[in-house]
Amino acid sequence: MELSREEKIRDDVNTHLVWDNRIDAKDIRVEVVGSRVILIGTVPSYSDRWQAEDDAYSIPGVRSVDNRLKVVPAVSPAPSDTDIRLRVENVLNWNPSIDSSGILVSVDHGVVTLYGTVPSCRQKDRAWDLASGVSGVVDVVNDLKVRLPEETADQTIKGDILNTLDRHTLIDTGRVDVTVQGGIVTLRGIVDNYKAFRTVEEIAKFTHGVIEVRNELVIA
Amino acid sequence: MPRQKRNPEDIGADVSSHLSWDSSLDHTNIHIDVVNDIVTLSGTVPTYRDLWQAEHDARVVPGVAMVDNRLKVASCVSPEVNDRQVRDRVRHVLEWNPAIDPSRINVTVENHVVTLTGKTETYWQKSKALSLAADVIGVDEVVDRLKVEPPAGVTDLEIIESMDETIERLNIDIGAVDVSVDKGLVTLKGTVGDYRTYCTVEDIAGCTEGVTAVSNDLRVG
Repeated sequence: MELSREEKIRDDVNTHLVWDNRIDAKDIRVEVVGSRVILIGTVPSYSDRWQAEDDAYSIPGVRSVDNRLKVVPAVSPAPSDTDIRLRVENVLNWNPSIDSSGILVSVDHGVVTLYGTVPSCRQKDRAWDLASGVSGVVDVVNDLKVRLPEETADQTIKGDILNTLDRHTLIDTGRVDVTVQGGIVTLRGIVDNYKAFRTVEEIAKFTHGVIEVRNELVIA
Repeated sequence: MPRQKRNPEDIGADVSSHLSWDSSLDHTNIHIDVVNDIVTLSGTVPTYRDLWQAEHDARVVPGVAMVDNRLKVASCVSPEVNDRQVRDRVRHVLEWNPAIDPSRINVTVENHVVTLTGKTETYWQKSKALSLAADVIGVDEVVDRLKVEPPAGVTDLEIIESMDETIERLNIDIGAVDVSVDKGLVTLKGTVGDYRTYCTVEDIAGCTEGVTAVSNDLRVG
């Protein structure tokens, strides 16, 4: 009984990865233990790696994904670390939604590290996103610190997040618990699916005054 | 799922709160009008990305059936970026993305309006190219002249089947959505329960092999 359920999840994840034309899934192997999916093998880009994880999460019955995919860039000639650094720096500098003046970039064997400061939690995420989408990148370590231009009271942040969750369509906010301490938001409770899990986290990150979001939500 | 009608004042107040909550958006010069369940956004935003972000924010508010986006971009970039610089940047951004084949895309820029012409293999790559171009300082608008040319001949029937299977696999209740496909062009009609389903159905169409265009006429209600 348990076995056939695992097999169904495995088949669904496999089919979904093959269906999704954003991803080159030919070298991905899927294993399932209980409601946990393990992704093994290689993908040609770092964004494929994350897309594959997202795809696995979207399958009903999946509660966690252990992403062991390695990135083997398909571009030849492979860009040097210096090339990659310049690309990432430019992509950040040219983006209208990021103040990149406090961001520093280092690259070692395709692994990008972002450090320095940004003025919001949202920008920290966005910087990671942009760096992730550069070809030649195999991993992105986000060591950026959020330095807010002005502080917001924890109570205000909390109220803002709760109001926004309320306003948002189709999130069962009754089961989400929000605590804020020194600008650090912790999310606890239960959500129905991975989409809701990500949406609640995103809402917290978009809110004024937030330094960091710790997402401890559980997918039912 | 049946939904209660909300009065336009409440919808307007929620859209306004949602726009000012979003810390990634400069909403100072956005004007909101609500007639029944249709929201009209007018005024100006500083970037092309803000223009779409504002629309997205308005759509997530309960009771909103449609958004008429009349926002204009009034960029205040300093120092000034000229068209040639904008073109070089957009070309680089496309070239550095692993999903895009830049040799098949041509970039032209006039008065900060970027036009992309050429071909992509998938609809998703086309959308990606357009959103990458939109997210560059100095771009006020992106004009889409890209054609999708799928490599293998996927039939319209195969596209419908693939979409149906995907919707079933994800166990999504899409309600009364009518999907039709004509030579790769997917048309979505009908009413969905919420904006999230609206986006999900559009995404599924956009990521399916063989799709050359997506026309989303769905209504939220």
